[in-house]
Amino acid sequence: MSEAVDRLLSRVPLLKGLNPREMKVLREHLRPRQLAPGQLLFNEGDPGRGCFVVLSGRIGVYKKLRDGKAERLAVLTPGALVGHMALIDNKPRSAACRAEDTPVVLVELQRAEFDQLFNAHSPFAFKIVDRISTDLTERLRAATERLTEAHRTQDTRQRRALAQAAAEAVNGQAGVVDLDDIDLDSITVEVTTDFSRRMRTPIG
Amino acid sequence: MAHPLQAFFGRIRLFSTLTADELNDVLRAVRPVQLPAGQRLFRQGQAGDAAFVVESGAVEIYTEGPGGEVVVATLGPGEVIGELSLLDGSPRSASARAQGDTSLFRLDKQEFDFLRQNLRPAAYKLMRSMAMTLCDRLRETNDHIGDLLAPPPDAKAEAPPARAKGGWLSRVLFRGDR
Repeated sequence: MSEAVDRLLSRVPLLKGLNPREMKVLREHLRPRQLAPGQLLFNEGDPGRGCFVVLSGRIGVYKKLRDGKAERLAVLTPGALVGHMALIDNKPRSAACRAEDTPVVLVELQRAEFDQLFNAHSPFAFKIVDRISTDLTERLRAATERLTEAHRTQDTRQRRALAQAAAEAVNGQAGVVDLDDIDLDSITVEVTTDFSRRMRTPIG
Repeated sequence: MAHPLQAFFGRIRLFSTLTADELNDVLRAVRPVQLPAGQRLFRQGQAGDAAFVVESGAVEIYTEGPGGEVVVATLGPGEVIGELSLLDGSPRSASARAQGDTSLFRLDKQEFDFLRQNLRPAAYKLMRSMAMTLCDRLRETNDHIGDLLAPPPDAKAEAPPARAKGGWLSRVLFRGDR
């Protein structure tokens, strides 16, 4: 993968500070994926087969409410990690993710491969579990803070705003990713070229 | 040679994925604690610096708030207390005290961090187990957020705040409420 993709990956908060050997392990296990505008990445309730990094475009995170309608909980942009709980447990996806109004390019790390690395005591896998644990702790703390406030207020508008803030804490992009010096268009071209060369069809 | 506590710890779910050698790594760092009836183990709000396993007796977990004291759980032999503090040392979300005379095992966060820094598989297996608990809680939280964002059945009436289903989230959100 190109220098541009490498640089983008190194900006992902969860992947920051991985040493060259660990980045090499990561790169060896990443598979390119692409989505057309509006295309589903995975549905709520689907088995969690892996996690993704957004390289270009925007992903919407949607949850089905009790009236059957889908509510958008967050939007994920380049540098964001998607679905990383799948690397920890084997439970169904807690929300749906789909490409918004743009095509989306991602890379995928599959759970089966990650498990192999973890069981082989790969320092890369250990570091990722460490990072994910810290990330999950922080999301939970931020969300429960907002929800505690939401339940204390009588103002329905404020309660809704706090619930939305909690949704962003759980499902949104952790950490601001500075990508100003990275050519995202070239990444799109590179990954989609690589993609068609490998002639791999997207699964699930 | 197997550590004498191998059999006891091996039956506990948090430790069940560890090999005998990995469990030894952890057991070397574990220390016994005796608590007479009624003695407090830790207080709500204190920095979490250790996890505990009940060996015998029982520990009451309780919250203290404006509404008074609420016992939220009683944990017995083989049950783990406060393991998530090993991840980040965050403040205890509830207090804990011995119900009757109780003996426990204590694993300090410092000891756990030592295993973690040395990339010991034991630490990372435990971490992954703890992360599974966090994932469950995040899913519970996401479900509750969905309930809060759902439009009220009658657009004119104000929706009453939805009580969170499930034990953990209810305890966190309505801590100390009567």
